[in-house]
Amino acid sequence: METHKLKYFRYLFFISISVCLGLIRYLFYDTSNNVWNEGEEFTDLNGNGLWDQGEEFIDENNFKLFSKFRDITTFSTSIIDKVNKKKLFYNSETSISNYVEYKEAKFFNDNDLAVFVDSRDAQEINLSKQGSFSGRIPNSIVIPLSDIETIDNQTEYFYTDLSENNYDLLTMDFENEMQTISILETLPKDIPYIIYCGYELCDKSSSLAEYMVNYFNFEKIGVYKQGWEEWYRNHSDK
Amino acid sequence: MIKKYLKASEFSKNTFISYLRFVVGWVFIYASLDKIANPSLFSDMIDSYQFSSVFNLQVFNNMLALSLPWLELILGVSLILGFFLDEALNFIIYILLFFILVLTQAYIRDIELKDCGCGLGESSILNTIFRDLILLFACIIIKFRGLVIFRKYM
Repeated sequence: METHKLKYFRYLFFISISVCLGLIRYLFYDTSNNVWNEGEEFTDLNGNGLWDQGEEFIDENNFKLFSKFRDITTFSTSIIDKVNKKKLFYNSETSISNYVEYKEAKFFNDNDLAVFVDSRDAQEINLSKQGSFSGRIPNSIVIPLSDIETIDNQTEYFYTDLSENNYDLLTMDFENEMQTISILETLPKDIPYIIYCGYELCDKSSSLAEYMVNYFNFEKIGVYKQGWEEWYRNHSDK
Repeated sequence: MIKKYLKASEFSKNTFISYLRFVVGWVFIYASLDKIANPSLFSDMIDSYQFSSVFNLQVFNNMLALSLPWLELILGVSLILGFFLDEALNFIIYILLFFILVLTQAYIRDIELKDCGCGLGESSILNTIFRDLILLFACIIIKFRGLVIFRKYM
């Protein structure tokens, strides 16, 4: 009997010592290394701070002893399968049929799998501010479609190869518009983006998707058609 | 003459087993060091296996990421130095079986892993499964102090 007890004691000894050492390691663990680095690149790119780097964002990446429950990770495998099989994201060969539903959009946003792009103006976003909600999906960048449309309508930027002088002139005349276009050109092309606008019937999101694919060669573009309206409805209920 | 031969074989068997002990222990120690250094990366790797999420046990991911490398380190050290040898060996065999189970489910479900979190920089899941099977075989040899099949002749 005693030998059996000793055996179990030894197993317990291994487990308890490793757990204790792990806890000690946790006490000395420096969480400052663990902040998502890619945010800094985008903030350097434009002075306006289009990336929403609030406290929530950094909190999520902190290393805690007990990681929190995520409701949607149980669906994670099915959604990732969907992305792989149905080609959720846009290919330049196929037409735009890459609509993202709320569940998928929330999954992508929670796990930082895609960059969210708001296609509305600053004015429209300000109008949709309600209470503690900032008017757009957290961690989204703003690329107004109206800027690109003015460049498309009033200049020949998309249709001819501009010389340096002409380019400078363009930046003089259309300062804000050219800034958004320079942002679009410098964004990485191979990571997934999800574009949305105010409500289901607005077609800003899909036309911005067309611009991004045809003129800027983005590879993976998804459109969250229901947009801010549905997002706000689902989040204000809680 | 026969006695001499038996003694010689005994000696070679013991050295072989101690050599195996050293190799397996060193593999465990070396693999644990990287994970001890950055537990957050290791917890991400555990998450990427999607094993704990099936049972809704992601809460313990970070806890596992903190304590499992230390367990590997202690087991490796005890295997090399020889204290609590039997228990450590049993424990290592259970852990290896667990690893093989997790890796095979990841392989069957076609989960893409950036890094398997094994600490040795393997290229694919199949390679790691193969390595774990070899380690398991080595552990079984150590446990029975030699190959059971060839015991008659040794």
